[in-house]
Amino acid sequence: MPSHIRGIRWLLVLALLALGEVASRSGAVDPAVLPPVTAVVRAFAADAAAGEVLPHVEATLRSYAQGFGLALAVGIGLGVLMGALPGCYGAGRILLEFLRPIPSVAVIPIAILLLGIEFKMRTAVVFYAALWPILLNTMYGIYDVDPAYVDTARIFGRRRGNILRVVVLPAALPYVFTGARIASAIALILAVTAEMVAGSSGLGYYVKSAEMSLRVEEMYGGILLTGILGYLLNAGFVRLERRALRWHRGFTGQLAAG
Amino acid sequence: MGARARWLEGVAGWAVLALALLTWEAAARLSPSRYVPPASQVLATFREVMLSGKVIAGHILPSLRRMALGYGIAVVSGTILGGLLGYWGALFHVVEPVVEFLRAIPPPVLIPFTLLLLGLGDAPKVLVIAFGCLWPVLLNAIDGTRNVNETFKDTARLFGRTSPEIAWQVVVPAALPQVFAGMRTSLSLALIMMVLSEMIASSDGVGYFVLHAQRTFDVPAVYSGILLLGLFGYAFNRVFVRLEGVMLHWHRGYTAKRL
Repeated sequence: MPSHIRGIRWLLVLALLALGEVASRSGAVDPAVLPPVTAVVRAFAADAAAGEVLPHVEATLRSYAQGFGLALAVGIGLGVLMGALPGCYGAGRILLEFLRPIPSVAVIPIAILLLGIEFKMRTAVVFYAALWPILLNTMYGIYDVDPAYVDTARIFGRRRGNILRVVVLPAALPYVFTGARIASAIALILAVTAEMVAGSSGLGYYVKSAEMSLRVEEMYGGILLTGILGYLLNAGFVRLERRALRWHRGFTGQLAAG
Repeated sequence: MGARARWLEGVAGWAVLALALLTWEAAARLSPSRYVPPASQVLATFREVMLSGKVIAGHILPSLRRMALGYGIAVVSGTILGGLLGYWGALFHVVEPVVEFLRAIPPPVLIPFTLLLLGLGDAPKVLVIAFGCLWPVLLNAIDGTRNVNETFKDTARLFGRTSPEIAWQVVVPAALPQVFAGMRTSLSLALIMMVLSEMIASSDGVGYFVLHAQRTFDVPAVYSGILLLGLFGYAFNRVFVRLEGVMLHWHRGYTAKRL
């Protein structure tokens, strides 16, 4: 990317922020709807300094991390079983086809009935929503492994377990990562939604209660912080993926270069 | 896989489903929990309540209307914007940080903002659905437009086509399969966005219906609402696949012939 474009893109961000500030201060838009950026930062920083923000960030991250981590373990485990053993695939397929179309947020009311309105419920909901992309991608990843790889390993006298570990799993890894990245974004959406629907902590709760008590600056601060959190989680994921799959891309690149 | 193995696999799948339903029914009848109603009761409630005129007119139709509007706005604006940003790559680089940040915001957290901006009624929910569905369409449209085979464009140019002609006759058709892939991802997101926006801020719609049923402990209604949403998800996907087949049949045909 040319360096002058790199400059322009950050100028654009600044210009947008400045535009918001001016529009609000001049009264072109109602400050009660869109307060000046500086007022948002000031009010939100004051709230954060009073210790009113960090516990909510922790609460959101906790249900996100617990639910997502559990989904990784179960999703990859089941995905490997269903991808590698045709019997497991056959047994689970119809059940999967029935459960998959249900929009994940719809399970929130059941989760509230069974698990209450706090952490247990939110973690369970995040887990359920994050499970599907991971499970399906792992399964398809293993399904899509070039049979020639497996045959080659078999000719060289490898055993089934060894082939799975050395050949099949690495070949399926890019799929698993894609599934996990999609699942991570959905996990955050579900965590926030569950906090807005029920319970008394988390960023979703913070934003909703700020809106209901008409603390508009704090509301915008919470929205921006949630966006930053989502951005950082995604950026971290992309970086991790790039590092873990370096061999993969390098390999593909060499082949393409001939 | 032989025909026999495939047959066995199919039988195993349906057997597991039947077993799951039976286990559910038995567990619900035996268990003291009133939060897990038997499957038969859920089906009865589904027939009586979900398919009643009151619920269809009061909840199901408003939900479908919002979803169709939000999804439609996302598809149209995402395709047009994505086509432009893909065509002028420099423009995309300039707006990229803004796009990346907006895309990272979980849509539900924007609901209070849309309420403030647009008041009550359909508009804030439609906006949230459109916002949530925009990104897969937009990014796929950008990617699809950028990755059009240069040879196609050069060939068209060689045959004396003007730039608008090339855009319309070469770039758009070549990018279309990827736009459709984005639209498919967005379709399942649209259903999720519809439900969550109605759960967080609404007094009608299927999302509201389900949450309200939970709050009034009408447990069979909760489950039958979820069943309806599952059927929606299944039906939308089927219709989309059919539509995609009609719209892109030239593409598949072409590829298949080449192979």
